[in-house]
Amino acid sequence: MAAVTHEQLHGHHPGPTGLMRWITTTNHKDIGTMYMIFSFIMFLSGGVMALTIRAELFQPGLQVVQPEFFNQLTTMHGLVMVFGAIMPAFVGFANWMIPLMIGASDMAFARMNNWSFWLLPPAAVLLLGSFFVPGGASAAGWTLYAPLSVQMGMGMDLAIFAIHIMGISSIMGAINIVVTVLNMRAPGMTLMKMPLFCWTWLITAYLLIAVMPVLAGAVTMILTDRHFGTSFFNAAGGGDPVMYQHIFWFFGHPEVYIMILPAFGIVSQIIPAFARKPLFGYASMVYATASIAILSFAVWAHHMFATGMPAAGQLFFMYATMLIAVPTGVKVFNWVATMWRGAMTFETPMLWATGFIFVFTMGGFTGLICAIAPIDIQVQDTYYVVAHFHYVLVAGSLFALFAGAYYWLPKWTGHMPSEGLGKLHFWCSIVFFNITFFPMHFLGLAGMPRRIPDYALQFADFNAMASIGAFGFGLSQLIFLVVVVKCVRGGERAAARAWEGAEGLEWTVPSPAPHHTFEEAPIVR
Amino acid sequence: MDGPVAGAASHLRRGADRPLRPGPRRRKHRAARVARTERHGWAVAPRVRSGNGNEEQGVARIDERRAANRRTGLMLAVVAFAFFVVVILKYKVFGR
Ligand code: HEM
Ligand SMILES: [Cu+2]
Repeated sequence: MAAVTHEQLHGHHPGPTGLMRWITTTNHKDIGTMYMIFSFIMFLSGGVMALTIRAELFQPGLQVVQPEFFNQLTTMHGLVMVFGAIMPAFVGFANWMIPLMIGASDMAFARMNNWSFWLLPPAAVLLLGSFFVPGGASAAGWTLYAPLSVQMGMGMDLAIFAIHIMGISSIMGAINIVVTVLNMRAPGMTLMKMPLFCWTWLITAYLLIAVMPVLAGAVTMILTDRHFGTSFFNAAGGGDPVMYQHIFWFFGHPEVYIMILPAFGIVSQIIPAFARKPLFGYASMVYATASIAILSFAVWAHHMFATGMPAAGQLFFMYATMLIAVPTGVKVFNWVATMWRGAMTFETPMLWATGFIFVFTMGGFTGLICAIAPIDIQVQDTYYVVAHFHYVLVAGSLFALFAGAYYWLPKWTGHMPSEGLGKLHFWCSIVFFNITFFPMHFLGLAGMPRRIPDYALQFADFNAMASIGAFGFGLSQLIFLVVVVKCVRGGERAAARAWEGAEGLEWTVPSPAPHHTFEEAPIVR
Repeated sequence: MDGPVAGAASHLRRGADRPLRPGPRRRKHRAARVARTERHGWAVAPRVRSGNGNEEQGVARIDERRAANRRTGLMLAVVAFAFFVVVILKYKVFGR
C-alpha cells in the first residue's frame, strides 16, 4: 500500500547510477554518508598536519620544518579539524539520524541538502590548495587574528573564501535541520518526546544560524581591509585589532558549543541503551542544553583576559563562564545517574561513551581553571590552553562521534562492527590520547607558549612524550578505517534493533535502513 | 506492544494505553494533534477522514507542507543574512 501511494505521488524513475547518483542525490542517507566520508578524509589530512607539528616538537631546535611552514601547519590544522572534520561529521549524523528518529521520510529541503554538502569539497580544495600558492597557506592561527590576517599573502584570501563557502553550507544545513525538526515530526512525536540527539541538534542549529553570519562578517571585514581600503581592524587607518577578537569570539565561543552539544546528544542516546534504563532527567537535559546555548553568547571575552579589559569586564566574563559549568554539571550528573544501578554492558559504543564522560569532564575542569581571570593571564597562550581544548574537542567531540559511529554502524551497513577491533581502537585511543595531551598541562603551567616551533630545553621530556603519544593516537585511528571497511563489506548480520537495550524509531526499521523509510509516517503515542 | 512504535523509547510510549478521552484538557490536546495532522497531511491518519481520501488530496497536502517548510526556512535565512549585514554595518557606521 505504502509503495503504491508513493509511486502515484512522485512517480518512480530509476535514478542515475555510479558517480552521478552521488552528485545528484537528495536522499538524506546518501548525503549523510557523504558528509561522514568527507569528514574522515579531512580528519586524516588534519591529522597529518598534527603529526608534522609533533615531529617538529619531538626535540628542541628546528629539525623538520621551517618556522613559517610550522605556523601554516598549526593554522590549517585548526581550520581543517574544526570546519572540515568535526562540524561536517555531526551534520552527517544529523542527516542520517534525525529523519529516522522523528519518523520523517527525509530532510525538509532535500535538494538544498545536496547543495549544502557539495559546497564542502570545493571549500576543502581551496583550503588545502592554499599550501601551494605563493607565500603558502594562511599562518595567522585558526582564529585569524588581525593584524596578521590583514597582512598575509594570498593563502589568507583562499582561507577567507573557503570559510565563506563552508559558512554558507553550515547555515543551509542548520536551516534544514531546524525546519525538519519543527515541521516534519511524525504525528504524536511532540518536542518533549524527541530523542535527545534531535534536541541537541535543534539547539545547535539555532546557534549556527546566529553565529556563522558573524564569522562571515568578520572575515569579510578582513577581506575588505586587505583589498578594498577599509580600516576595520587596521590601527594605522583608525581601526582596532582587538575589535576583531571581540567579533571573532562572539562567534568562537558559541562555535565550541556547536561542536559539543551534538556530542552530548549522541552520548545521551548511547548511555541509556547500554545501561538499559531510560535517560535520567530527560527534561532537565533539554533545559540544560538550552541554558548552555544561551549562556554561550555571554562569555566570549574569556578568550581575551590578556588584552587588558576593565576589571568589571573581567569579573563579568569570569562569573558568566563559571555559570556554564552548572548546566554542564547537570548533564554529567544525569549520565552518571542513568548508569547508576543500570544493567550495564560495555560494548564498543558504551566504552566510547563512558570514556567520553571521564575525559571530557577533565577538559571541563581545566576550562574552569582557564576561566579564572588571574590564572588565565598566566596560562593564556600556553600549552595549558592547548591541553584544555583537546580534552574537550578530541576526548569530547571526537570520542562521541566514534561512540555514535559504532552505535549506528549496524543501522547504516546492516552488519555489526567488529567488537575486538572496536575495543582495540578505543583502548589505544584513550591511552595514547592521554599520553599526548596530559603532559601539555604541565608544559603550559611551566610556561611553554603555544604555536611555537622551538622551545627551551627544560620542556624537552614532556614534549617527546607528547609526540610519541600523538603518533600512537594517529596510527590507532587507522583501526577505525579497517573496522568501517570490514563492516561495510560483511560481518555478523545486524537485527533491526541491533543493540538489546536500544530504543527509538530508528531501531524499528530494518538494518541496513532501506533507502526510503517512513514514507508513511509512523504514529507515535 | 507491536506495530511501528514497538521499539520506541519508553518515554515515547508513555501514555500509549491511556483511555482516549479522559478529560477536557486531554481532549484539547488530542484535537490539536488531529488538526496538525490535517494541516500537514503527512501523517497516516488513524481513520479515513473523508470519503474522498484520494491522491489529489494527498498532493495538495504535501504542497501545503512544502509551503510551510519554505516559510520557516526563508524566515531563518533572512535572520542569518540580517546578522551578517548588521555585524558589518555596525562597525562600518559606528566604528567600535
Ligand atoms: C566547562 C566548560 C568550559 C569552560 C569553562 C571553558 C573555558 C575556556 C577558557 C576560559 C578558554 C580561554 C583560555 C585562554 O585562551 O587563555 C577556553 C579556550 C578554549 N576552549 Fe574552552 N571552556 C569550556 C568548554 C569547552 C568546550 C566544550 C569546548 C569545545 C568542544 C571548548 C573549546 C575551547 C577552545 C577550542 C579553546 C581555545 C581557543 C583558542 O584560543 O584557540 N571549551 N575555554
Ligand atoms: Cu570560550
